Amino acid sequence: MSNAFCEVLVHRNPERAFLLGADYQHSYGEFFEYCRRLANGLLQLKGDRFACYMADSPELVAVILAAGMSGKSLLLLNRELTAQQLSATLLRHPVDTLISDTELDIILPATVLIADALDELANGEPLVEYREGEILILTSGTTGEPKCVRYSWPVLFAQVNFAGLQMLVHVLRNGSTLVFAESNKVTHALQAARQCAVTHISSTPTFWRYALASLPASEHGLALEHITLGSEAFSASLLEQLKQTFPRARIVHIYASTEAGSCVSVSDMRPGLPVSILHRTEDSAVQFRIVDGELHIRSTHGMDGYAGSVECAARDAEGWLASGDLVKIENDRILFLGRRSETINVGGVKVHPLEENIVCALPCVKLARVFGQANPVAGQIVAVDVVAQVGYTDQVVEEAIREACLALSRHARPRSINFVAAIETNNLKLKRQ
Amino acid sequence: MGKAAEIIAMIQTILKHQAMPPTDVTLASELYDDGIGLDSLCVAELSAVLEKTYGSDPYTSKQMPRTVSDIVSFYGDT
Repeated sequence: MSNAFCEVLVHRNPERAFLLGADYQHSYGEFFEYCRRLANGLLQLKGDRFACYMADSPELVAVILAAGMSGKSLLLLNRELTAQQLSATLLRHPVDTLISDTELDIILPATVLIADALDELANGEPLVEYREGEILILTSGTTGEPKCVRYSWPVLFAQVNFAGLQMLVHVLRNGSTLVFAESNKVTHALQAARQCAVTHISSTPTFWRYALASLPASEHGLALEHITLGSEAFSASLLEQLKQTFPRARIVHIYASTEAGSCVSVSDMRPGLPVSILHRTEDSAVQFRIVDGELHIRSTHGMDGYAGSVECAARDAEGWLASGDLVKIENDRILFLGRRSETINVGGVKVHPLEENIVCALPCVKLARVFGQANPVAGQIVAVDVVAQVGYTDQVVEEAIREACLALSRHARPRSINFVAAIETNNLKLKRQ
Repeated sequence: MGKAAEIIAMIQTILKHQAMPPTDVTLASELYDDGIGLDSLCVAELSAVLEKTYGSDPYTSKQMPRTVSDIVSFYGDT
């Protein structure tokens, strides 16, 4: 973060609440003072790159901001990664130090710093000369292994808008208050929103479907002014239900990608994107085109590049990026059909069906095919067709599959297991659709 | 087994898949965090099981059941 920008943050409404939770409140002034001291502490850590494996919390926000001030690169890791996935990720994307909010019972290729020690690290003087740190984010790995995308803070603050960092960046830009729920459960989020009179919520369509199902039929007590949806396709009926439940709220859906950043936001209460975005001129910040049924994006913002020695042409020579989203035009609308790859989008979390290796490796399984099954709640769920080995009952095989899949993140676990006599193949590959 | 008992058994199986402690599930049980504690992934699984077993499910039909009884009623049983 630049000196000028940090000074704006540090001196913005010092008394105003920045972070709010059930039993704590941090003002802008107090919290940024802590971040400046933590930034100085981070400079004492070995190496230029570290990672954090932490749940959404004030501690995570402190690490993100302090890293930005200290000039170190920070790799943000999904807290839902299992220990094995965490280890594999750090082997692919090495860091010097991992800050974790939990003890890890595994040997990792990095020095592990437990988040409880952050206060000790922030014991010294506040940092005065700020440096430009980078944020590193892993893509969903739609086209293979997840890639590590680099973002500088000026770009993040300019217009990037995607899940996770989006809310923090939005709050910092506007000097508003970020509310933390007790956990990431939808009910806890709604409870916190009610208690703290939250006006804006941004989440996935799956969050909103679940929220609508769990809210009381009347008098839900939420005074939302702005609702944002992103990361998944959704139907017109979800928008209608949201409008009925929150008549005062402006409802917007955002189309974004990790590489390209925020691309377009739509507030006309219709699913999909307007066809008019295909006719934007070359001086537009973001342009769109459709090639072989796939949406391509060309943006003047977005990532600074990939970290490490990744040899991949994400953008073509003219700067176009293939989004992986298959679309069709219907009347004046671009509608989403699914992904070009076999990635399964479970509630906004991308899961690769190659996780089926874990099922196929079981001695009781002869053959398995993992695929995305349409679901009214999560958009898609992971389903698996299984041919059992002779001599095993369906019940035994199902229990073995469920136990083996406990090693996967919750979104990646099969929610529907179907026993079949045979699985169709196509050129010696499993047919997934 | 009646439909109500089948649906309760389905919910208990889903809770077991989540390694959640056995819970008394009755027709009056609230489905979500204030009751049995089904989160969005559990509800997604429940909708898939209901659809596979009975050929339809309330969530696909744009209904938002709040209790076990609401699901049973969807199938015309009380």
